[in-house]
Amino acid sequence: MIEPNNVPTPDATDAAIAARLVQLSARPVDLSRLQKRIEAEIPRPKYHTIWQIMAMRSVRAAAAMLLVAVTALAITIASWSGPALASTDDLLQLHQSLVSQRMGMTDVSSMEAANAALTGKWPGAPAMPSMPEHKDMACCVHSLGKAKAACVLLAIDGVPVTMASAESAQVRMPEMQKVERSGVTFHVQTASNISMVMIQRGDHWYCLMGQLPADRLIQFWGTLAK
Amino acid sequence: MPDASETFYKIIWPHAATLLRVAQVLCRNEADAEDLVQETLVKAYRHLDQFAEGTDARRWLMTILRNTRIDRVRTLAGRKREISIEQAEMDPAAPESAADTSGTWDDPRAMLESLSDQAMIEALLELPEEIRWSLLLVDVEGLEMTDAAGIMEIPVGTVKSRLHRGRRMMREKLQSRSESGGAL
Repeated sequence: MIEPNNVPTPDATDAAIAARLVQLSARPVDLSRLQKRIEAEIPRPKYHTIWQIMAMRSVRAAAAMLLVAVTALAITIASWSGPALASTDDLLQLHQSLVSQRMGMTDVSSMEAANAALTGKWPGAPAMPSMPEHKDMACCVHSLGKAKAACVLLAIDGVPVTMASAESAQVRMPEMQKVERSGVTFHVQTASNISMVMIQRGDHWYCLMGQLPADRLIQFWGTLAK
Repeated sequence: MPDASETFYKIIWPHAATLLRVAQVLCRNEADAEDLVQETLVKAYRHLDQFAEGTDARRWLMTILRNTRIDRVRTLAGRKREISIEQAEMDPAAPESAADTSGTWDDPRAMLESLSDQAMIEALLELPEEIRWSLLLVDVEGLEMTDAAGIMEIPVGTVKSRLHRGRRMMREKLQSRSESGGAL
C-alpha cells in the first residue's frame, strides 16, 4: 500500500481523470419520486402566521377589509407581473401529448417546412433553428397555459423528441440545473425518465425533450444552426 | 422564528440532487439510492438542532449520508464498520502502480471526454467503496481534502493516498473496458 505521506504527485492522466470526474457533478437527476416521498414525511410549511397574529390582536374585521384591498391589489399586480411560469410538468405533458396523440400536427420534411407551417398557424411563431437533413417531422402550435408554444416532433436516434419554443415575455422557463458546455448555458432537468434541455436564444427559449440522456440532447443542440 | 420544516426546505432540500447523485454511485440501483437519500434527509430533519446555521450544510449532509450508508451496509452484511474499511484497503483489485496504459492515454483529456457519464460511473462502481468515497467527495463534488477527511474520519494523508490509488484504478478499469470493447 502506498504510504499516505509518500503519495506521488498526480500526473497528466490523473489530472485528466479528476477533471472528467468533476463533470459528473453536473449530471441531472430526477428528484420527482424522492420529492414526493420526502414531502409525505416532512410536509412543506403552511404560512398561517398573518391570520394567527390577526386573531391575537382581535382585529379580524379590519383584517377582512384589508384582505379585500390586498386581494384586489394582488390581482392587479398579478396581471402586470410578467410571464407565467411553464413548469416541468407542463413541458412533460406537452411532450407526452405530442408523442401519444399527434393530434392537429402537420407532417413536414424539413425544419424550413416546419417554420412555414408554424407561421401559417401562428404568425408570431418563433423560428425553429435549422438542422441537418431530417425527415419525418411533424409540427403544431400548442397551448402552454395561456400562451402558445411552437412545437416540432422529430426523432433522434430513433427516439421521439419534442422541440418546443415560446416567447420568454409570455412564458418563463422553469428553474433547472445549469450546465455549461462550450461556453453555452443549458438548463437541464430529468423527470419521469424524460430529459429536458432548455436554452435561451434572444427573446425565446427553446426546449428539447425526450427519453434520451441529457448529454445526447445537448450534443444535438451543437448540430443546430446558431 | 422559522419552524423546522421551513428550515429544512430552505437549507437542506437544495442539496438533495447532490446527495442523490452521490448515492447513485454508491448503490447499484436507483431504488437503493433513493432509499439512502430519503433516510439521510429525514435524519437531517430530525437533527436540525445539531446543524449550526451558516456552516457548510453540504459537508454536514455528506457526513450523515456516509454514516447512514455504513449503517445500511453493516445491517445488510452483518459486518462491522471497520471491516468494510479494512476490506477496501486490502482489496486485491487495488493496484500498487499504474497499469500499462500506453496508447489509449496518449491524449487523456480527449479520451476521457469521449466517454459517457455512464461509463465513468460504471468504472467508479467497480472500485472499493472507501476509494470511491474519496473520489466522489474530492474529485466529483469538489470538497476540500480536509473536509473529505473530516467526513470520512481519516487523516488527510489517507485521503490523498486513496485519491491517488483511485485515479490509478480508474485508469485501469477504463483501459480494460477499452480493450474488451466495452461501451465507452
